[in-house]
Amino acid sequence: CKNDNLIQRGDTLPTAYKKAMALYQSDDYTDAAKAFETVIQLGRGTDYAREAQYYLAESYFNDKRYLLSSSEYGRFVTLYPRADKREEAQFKEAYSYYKLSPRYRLDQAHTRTAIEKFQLFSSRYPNSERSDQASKYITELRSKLAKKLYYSADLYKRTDSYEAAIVYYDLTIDNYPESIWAQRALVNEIDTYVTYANRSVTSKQRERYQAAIEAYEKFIQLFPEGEYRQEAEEYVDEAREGIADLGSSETSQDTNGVASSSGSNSE
Amino acid sequence: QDTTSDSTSINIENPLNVTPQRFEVLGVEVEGLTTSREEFVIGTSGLEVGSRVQIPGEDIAQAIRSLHQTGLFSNVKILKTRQEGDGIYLKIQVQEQPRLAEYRIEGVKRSERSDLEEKITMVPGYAVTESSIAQATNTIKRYYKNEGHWDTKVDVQRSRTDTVRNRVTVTFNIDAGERLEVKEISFDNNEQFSDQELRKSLSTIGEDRWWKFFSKKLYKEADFEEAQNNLRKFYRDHGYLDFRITSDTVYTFPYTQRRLFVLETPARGIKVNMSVHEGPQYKVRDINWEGNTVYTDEQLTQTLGFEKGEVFNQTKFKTRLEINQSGPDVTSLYQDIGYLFFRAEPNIEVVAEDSVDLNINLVENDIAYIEKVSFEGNTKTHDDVVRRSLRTVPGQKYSRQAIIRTIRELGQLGYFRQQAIEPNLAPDPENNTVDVNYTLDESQSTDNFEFSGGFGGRGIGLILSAKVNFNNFSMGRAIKGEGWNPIPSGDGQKLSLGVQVTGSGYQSYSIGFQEPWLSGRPLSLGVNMSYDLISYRGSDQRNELFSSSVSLGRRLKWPDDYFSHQSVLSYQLYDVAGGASFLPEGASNILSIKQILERNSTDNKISPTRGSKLRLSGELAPPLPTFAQYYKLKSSYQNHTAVVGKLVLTNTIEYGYLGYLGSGKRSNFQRFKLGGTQLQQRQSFLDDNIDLRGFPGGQNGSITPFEDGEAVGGRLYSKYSLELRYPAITEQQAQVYPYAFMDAGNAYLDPSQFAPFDVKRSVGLGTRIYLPILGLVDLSYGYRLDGIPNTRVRAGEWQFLFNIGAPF
Repeated sequence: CKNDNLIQRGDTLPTAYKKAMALYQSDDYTDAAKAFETVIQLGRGTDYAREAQYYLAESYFNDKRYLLSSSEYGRFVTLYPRADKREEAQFKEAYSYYKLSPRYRLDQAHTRTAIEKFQLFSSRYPNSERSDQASKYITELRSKLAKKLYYSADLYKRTDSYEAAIVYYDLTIDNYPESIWAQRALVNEIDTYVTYANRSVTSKQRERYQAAIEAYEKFIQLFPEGEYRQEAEEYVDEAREGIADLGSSETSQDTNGVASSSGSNSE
Repeated sequence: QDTTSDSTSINIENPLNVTPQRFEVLGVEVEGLTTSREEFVIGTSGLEVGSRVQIPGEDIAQAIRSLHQTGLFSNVKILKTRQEGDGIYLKIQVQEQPRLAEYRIEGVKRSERSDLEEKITMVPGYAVTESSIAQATNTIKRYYKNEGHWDTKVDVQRSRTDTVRNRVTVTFNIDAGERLEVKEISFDNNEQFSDQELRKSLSTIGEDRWWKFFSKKLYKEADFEEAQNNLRKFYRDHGYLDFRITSDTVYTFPYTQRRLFVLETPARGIKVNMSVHEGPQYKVRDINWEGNTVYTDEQLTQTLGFEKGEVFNQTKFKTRLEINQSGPDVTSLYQDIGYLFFRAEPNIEVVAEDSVDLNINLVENDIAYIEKVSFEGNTKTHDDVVRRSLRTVPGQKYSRQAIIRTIRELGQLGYFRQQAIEPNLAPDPENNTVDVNYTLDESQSTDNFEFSGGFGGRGIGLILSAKVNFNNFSMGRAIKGEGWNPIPSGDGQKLSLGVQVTGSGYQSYSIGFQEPWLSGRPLSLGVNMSYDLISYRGSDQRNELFSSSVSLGRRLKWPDDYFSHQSVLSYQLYDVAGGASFLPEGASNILSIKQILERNSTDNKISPTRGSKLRLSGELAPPLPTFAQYYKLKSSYQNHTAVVGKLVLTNTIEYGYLGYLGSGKRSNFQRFKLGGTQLQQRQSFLDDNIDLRGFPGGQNGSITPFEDGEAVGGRLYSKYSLELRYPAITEQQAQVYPYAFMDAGNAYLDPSQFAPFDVKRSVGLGTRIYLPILGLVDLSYGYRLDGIPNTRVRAGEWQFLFNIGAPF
């Protein structure tokens, strides 16, 4: 009968723990979690409670209820800072948040928490073999955040909000210089400056072409071997041509004193 | 942690005289245990053998804190028993608390007990301490005081019910005592206003909490404070700047309670008395501005809205200077054009016995530009969908107006709780930039399922209609096969599927898809397909329509950014058998292109409170070979204005015209008929039905011109509507808007008969109900002032109509 597997009133602590563990081992994680909760309640202050706390977190984790597992691993780490399983628990707390991290186009609060928790783990256990894994996950999560910023910039570029696009490309490059998205952002930034300049009034064009050239120089410095180098060069050539064209028309513009519009969008 | 005079104590030495030193723990013993295990105590304290501690320092304090946090011990001490070089031996002394088996509440009503159980924080298994009992007692007394009981007595009993495990049961015996009501509120030294007026000021100004206090007549500390603030505000808004409440007393007094006019019983009540000092009523003498370079004194004074000699109203002054919900204010003048760091420092100077000068020093500072714009809380909706709705764009000047509009437009998406949208500013005065972050709450469901059944009246029969709207669909994820739990969402696309069956004669199937931003650009794409069939029982008459359309729309930036434009290409295939004589037998093809220009500045989709909507459309079905031809022009204008408070007046005016290019192959489909609702009209799909309340619509109840006794439909129509609407319930789970209306309209055979004010009229009442899972339901009950000739629809009759779907 199934009911015999569940904890009864009057069960001793070891019996209760055994029953909980049996549920856990038969992959019945929902009931196991309830049972471990009971063991924790009954056995406050004993080793059974400590083990139950760890397996409570494990049950939630195996049940894919990562928000609960993260907080239970966290509780284990705070309550039993000297326990053998602490390293494992602290890693899995971070890993639970990693599991919670959604696709880049949604809110990334869990991603940021995961990064923090992995960092905390790495600084506490720098020599652990899981430390390498943690830094691998950190890289992956940071790349996701970079991608999010990059695509925000991309939306602004598509909707002709050039200044906004540049702000966000810069944010991508400054915050995540190591990610592939920084490289992509910098190339797009050169392109954005060129398009922006093309659509600007003559008096503003030189400065914006110049900004494109500076962005290109930054690209060469940061990513000399970058895979988008070819593309960057095409854009910068366009900027250089733009400046060359301006050189001849500038004198006439100065005498007029009035800027003529060569584009529709901005001032 | 208090170690008294024990000389081995490590805490007794003045920590300032001791240099912190690190020790290795060589041994730990624990004293005072009965049920807990020594390992647990040591483990919890973190002071295991071999660990290193700093003394004096955080380690010991943390150990004591951790032990206390378990809730199992009281009086925790950690002592140093021995020291060997840099190694020490420690002793942890604990006293185990009895733990709570359960607590009982006696002497109260069942409802009160459950209220109290929610408030009392004692938990079985946790230690019972003096402080936890005192806390519970306080909670009980506070609860009863809020209910009007001033002399509540609580008797606490403890009994050890489980000696083995050291558990106690705590019993609270409560004697709530007499319930006292506020019987009198009086004032002293008030000369300008009567007691009566002042009592009113206490209750009317505040929120309904004070009103509750008044109606229940219960005395609550917080409410009394709020009432006093209301009184102060009342005086200050009438120019009494020096007003003070000099003293207040609250006391109980005996009085005689009268019941049924004759019975008299002695009782006790509460009396509230306030002594006030009124002072003079101040009027404005001069208004002086300083530091303004952007606006002139006159512009600022005009915005402030005070005139010389006007009574100085403090609330008005603050509102007009800082933030005004319903009009201009000085801060907005600056903040809407980038002056985020603008500050107004008012100095109200008393210059004569009853006059003040308003001296306002303006610190304009520099224009701030928006740097980073972020948002959080979008757990279902993708970034792009949110970001494209933001009116605050990096690189632009800061504008308060833009933030207000963003909140409104994010709310209009329908994905986030409007009230929970919160903008957070992070200004950086050094660089003159500001970061904006919006907090969103996406807990509500956006999909809805409309299911309705009803009796459609004569000749229609039972209507069954089902429609599913997925309002935040993601085609991209659907194709990739992800997110089917249950429906891929996040891209802000709309997918709707609908079926309607009426009796055995009418069937309709439709599918529609809309992508508001095609490939990431502000260009909307809509694709719709539908099939309609109606066959009449006992006759050969049978109509079919297959219709499909593709539309492209874009928001315009000119003339202003409320404008949008839409192009629709549609193809219709009609198949008519045995229909009206003016319709061609057999299949007809129509291919048309339609242009729609719209300006929509309404603030809410379900019930706008302000703004207007103008819509102009032109449709052309060119005379291609094998295709029927016509052109159609339509215009409508709708305006919403707040009349008084939340009451909104909506007026609508509409005209339509159907014309032809030459006389060949004229299409007689889609002529105008008026009456009924969209739900009932779907089955008369051969016509262009304009809904009109008070008239049944449909086969035999529509307003239409007649030719040879046949309802042929008009080539022109006019429609006017007035609606007075009140938002009775505006919760997230349910919205209810009762309204009163006056509708009028008519359809005319041809331009020569067009008489825009010769209309059929109706008046009536109705309610619009919005439930998130059901969508919008509209019920109206209209009284006809005019009948329709040639039909049984007569004047002086009532007409009930219901509709599902958006009216605006």
